[in-house]
Amino acid sequence: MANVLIIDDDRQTCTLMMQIIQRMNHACLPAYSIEEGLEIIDSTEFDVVFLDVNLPDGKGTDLLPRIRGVHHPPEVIIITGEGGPDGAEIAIQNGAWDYLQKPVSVKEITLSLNRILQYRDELGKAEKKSVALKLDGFVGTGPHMAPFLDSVAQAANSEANVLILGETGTGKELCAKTIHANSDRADRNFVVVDCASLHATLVESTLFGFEKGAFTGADQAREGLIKQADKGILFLDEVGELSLEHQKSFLRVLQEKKFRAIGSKKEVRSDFRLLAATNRDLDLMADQGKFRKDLLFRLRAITIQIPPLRHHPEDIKALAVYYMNRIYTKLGMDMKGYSPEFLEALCTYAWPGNVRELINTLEGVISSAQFEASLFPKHLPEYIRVHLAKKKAAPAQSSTRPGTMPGLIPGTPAESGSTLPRYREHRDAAIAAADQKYLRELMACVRGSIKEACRISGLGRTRLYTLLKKYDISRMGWPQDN
Amino acid sequence: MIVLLYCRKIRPSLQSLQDRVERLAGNDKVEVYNRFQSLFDRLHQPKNGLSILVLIAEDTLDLSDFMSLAPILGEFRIILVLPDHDEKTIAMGHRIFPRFVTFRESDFSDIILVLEKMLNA
Repeated sequence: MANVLIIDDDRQTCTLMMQIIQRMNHACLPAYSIEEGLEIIDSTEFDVVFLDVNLPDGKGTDLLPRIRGVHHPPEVIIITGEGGPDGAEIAIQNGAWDYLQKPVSVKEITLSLNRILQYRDELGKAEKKSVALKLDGFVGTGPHMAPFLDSVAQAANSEANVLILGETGTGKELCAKTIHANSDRADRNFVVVDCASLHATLVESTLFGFEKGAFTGADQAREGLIKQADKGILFLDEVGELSLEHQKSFLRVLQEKKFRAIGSKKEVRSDFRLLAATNRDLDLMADQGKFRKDLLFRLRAITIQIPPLRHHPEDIKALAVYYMNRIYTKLGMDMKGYSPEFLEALCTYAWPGNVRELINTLEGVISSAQFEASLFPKHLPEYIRVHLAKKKAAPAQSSTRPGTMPGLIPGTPAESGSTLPRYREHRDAAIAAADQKYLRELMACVRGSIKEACRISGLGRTRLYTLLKKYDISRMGWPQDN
Repeated sequence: MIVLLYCRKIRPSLQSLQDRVERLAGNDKVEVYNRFQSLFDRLHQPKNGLSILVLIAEDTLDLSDFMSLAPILGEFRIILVLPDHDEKTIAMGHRIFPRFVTFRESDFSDIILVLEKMLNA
């Protein structure tokens, strides 16, 4: 039996829905305003909340973050008399399960409710199984960590295909290995297909294998990686690099779980489970015709998004300590102390190369300070120190702070308006400050690559160079590769 | 990017592979090891640019040696050459998560193609 709450000021709708839900043997409570709904939610745990948009004391959708923020949050179904695609989008983006338009039919209510309960039941089983999730290298306690580990546990306890998304260096392969290690296929092969490193001429022979004499140089029959992954996991790393032709061949294998080796007439079965990873935007690629939509839909039965390190800086300290210990062990060195400034510097830097960059930096730092007892910011690579120094200097130079007009210093008579700058000066200063901030972040993000900076910003090479020169922004110490 | 080649037995085909890798990566970007202890010691030093390992297994004992290095091997991209096509040998090979697997009878042209892409990435 589930606990259901209906928040709707239309008493007739409430009564009708309660009758339907109670007939399904679930407990149901009504609330006729946001205030009343909040009171009930704070005191009782619910599985599902039906939430009206227009309530006498505000918008129901404004309540969504609060409802989804409680311990063991319920699923929320938005019900409204004034439907619209924008409202539906906002509701779903804020974590709503579904968006129903009034008048809501019995079928819609029962179907949505049953689906939610089925989902929560399966989720509950997955959570119970994930108690002993084997983790190696995933460190952190930030708010992103629990939902991320939930996704990994859910993927490990499932047979569905998984698409792992994340920037370079976030740990996509580690995530795939963790799913394998915690799955029922843990004692079978984990077969990596590095799509970025496979030359076009090798893709089919590597994946499907070949018969003796199938082509020049095929002196001996060879089993392909798909067969080697039989009953195990096939991990397609950098799947976005697969050509359209090879996407088509692979789609067929994925659909039928059988294939022919090159030069063979016999079809071979392989019961593999597919995990794939990419740092590319596959939806965008699909829209541009560069990635097959049918393959994309099949790849992402479950999607796991690994956040970039700059989105969870609260974990940098724990990650640094964890990996420093591993590095000391690997290098057979005694542990070193570190100054608070050293950790602070690590936590301040944006780490565009994510955890991998952090680990490589730490290894470089530790080996360069081999004979020293403690680590200080001076041991960090020059490009990081330059970046941090500029970051520190930037606010002082521009005297621009959020909510403060450039050129004005809080606490001076200027605030009274007596020495307000002219509008044009104010506007130019604000634009200059915003441009500088954007360009600094852009260059840090692309590690100094002008080509990549042009691609992301949409600026032409000449315009970008002009702006960098104007604001005296260097490539942040990254090697100049183009 | 530095490429490491490991093979316990020195064979003419290995010299040829080394020459081709040096042409690809640059003479000073290739390190060659013939003893497991030397390989072990190198991998327990700072990477200093080392990122790709080409490990040639002469037999399953070599594979067992590689597996003992598994926690460290995760830091590198591995190209693995297996000694035979036996199911157990292949399974042992996948325990070190190679990015590319080939077999000893290969003329190593496949390795060169993969290395070329890895080095240009």
